[in-house]
Amino acid sequence: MRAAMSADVRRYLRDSTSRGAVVQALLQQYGLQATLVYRLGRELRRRRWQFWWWPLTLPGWLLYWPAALFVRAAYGIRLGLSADIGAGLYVGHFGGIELTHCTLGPGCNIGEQTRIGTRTATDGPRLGERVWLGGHVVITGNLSIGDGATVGAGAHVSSDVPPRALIMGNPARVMSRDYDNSAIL
Amino acid sequence: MWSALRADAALIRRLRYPQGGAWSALGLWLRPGGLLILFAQRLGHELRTRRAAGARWTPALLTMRVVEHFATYAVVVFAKSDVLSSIVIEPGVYLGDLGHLIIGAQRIGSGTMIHHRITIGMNLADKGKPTIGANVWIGPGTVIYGNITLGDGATVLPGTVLTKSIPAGAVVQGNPARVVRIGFDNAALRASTNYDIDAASLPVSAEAQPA
Repeated sequence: MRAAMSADVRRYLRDSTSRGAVVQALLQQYGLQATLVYRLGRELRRRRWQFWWWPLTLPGWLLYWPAALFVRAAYGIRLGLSADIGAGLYVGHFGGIELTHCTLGPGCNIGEQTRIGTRTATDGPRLGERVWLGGHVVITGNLSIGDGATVGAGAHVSSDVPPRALIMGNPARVMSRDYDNSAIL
Repeated sequence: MWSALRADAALIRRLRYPQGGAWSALGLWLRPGGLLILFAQRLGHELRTRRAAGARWTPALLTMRVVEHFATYAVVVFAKSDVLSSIVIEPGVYLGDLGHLIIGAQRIGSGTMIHHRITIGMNLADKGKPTIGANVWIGPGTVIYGNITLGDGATVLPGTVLTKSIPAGAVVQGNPARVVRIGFDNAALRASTNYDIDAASLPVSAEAQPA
């Protein structure tokens, strides 16, 4: 949990890694607050049946649920515990974000008004590592997005996406087969 | 700043309460909606302009900064919106009461109506921001980004993803956006807060066809 959390915090630090910059990111980046709450919840969920952890996890849930309710009500960010999100998630803006029953690799970017996942427990979307998603993106259904892919703002993805592809539109079409997203990630 | 806010309030009041009446001012205070977002943005912009002109941190300016901080946070929590204080917003603009606005344009012209769930922002690849003309109507669920210009009186129908400049009086729809009408007068759209509009419901005239 701590390694993933520090990877998340580092995504929000541009050049400085001083203590002041970390505090500023924790206070001002609502996406970071939501991500850290999600990491706590996933850790509690992982130790759900390890009864020797219950003296710590049961009070932990009392901390998690109000915090998760707060980030969902105040910032409109819902990172469901059924979503499996890799370390180093960057949530650029806030409002209307819902992630459930999906898999995200490490180092992904997501934007506002984004819906990833399905309602049911199986067959959610699978995203590779370092995938960049713009705002207003909808990814539902059983599909996979390759490593380093870029999903343009407003795209509705309805089929598999190869690695390093740039896709846009509704329905999403491949605009470029080899797009380097390291500059915008 | 205050004259611009008064112009916004007059526009919102006229749209929300077409019959008018003395009680409509109370409605504006009780449910500010988009006016709260405009208040926080205009306060932030005023502060930014004064600081850029070389103003020192006087008690009055510090008070403004504190009020701006709490107003901006209220906008985040109650409207889920982030409208950057660097934008030049001309007086008399309508922002949707349902919020979810992420706006980082260069300039927004007067008489423009912006509904809810809208992202107007920077293209990260070339750092370009849009410039929005006067009397533009932007429907809900729209994404507009890049170094582009929306001409005066343009209409962006709901759910559009727009990344190219459009001329004055054009109507665009779709993802990616297509021009569906040119030379369209959107005064009827801007006369009410109704946003449930698509290309098929727009009046067709002989000169208002795509080129």
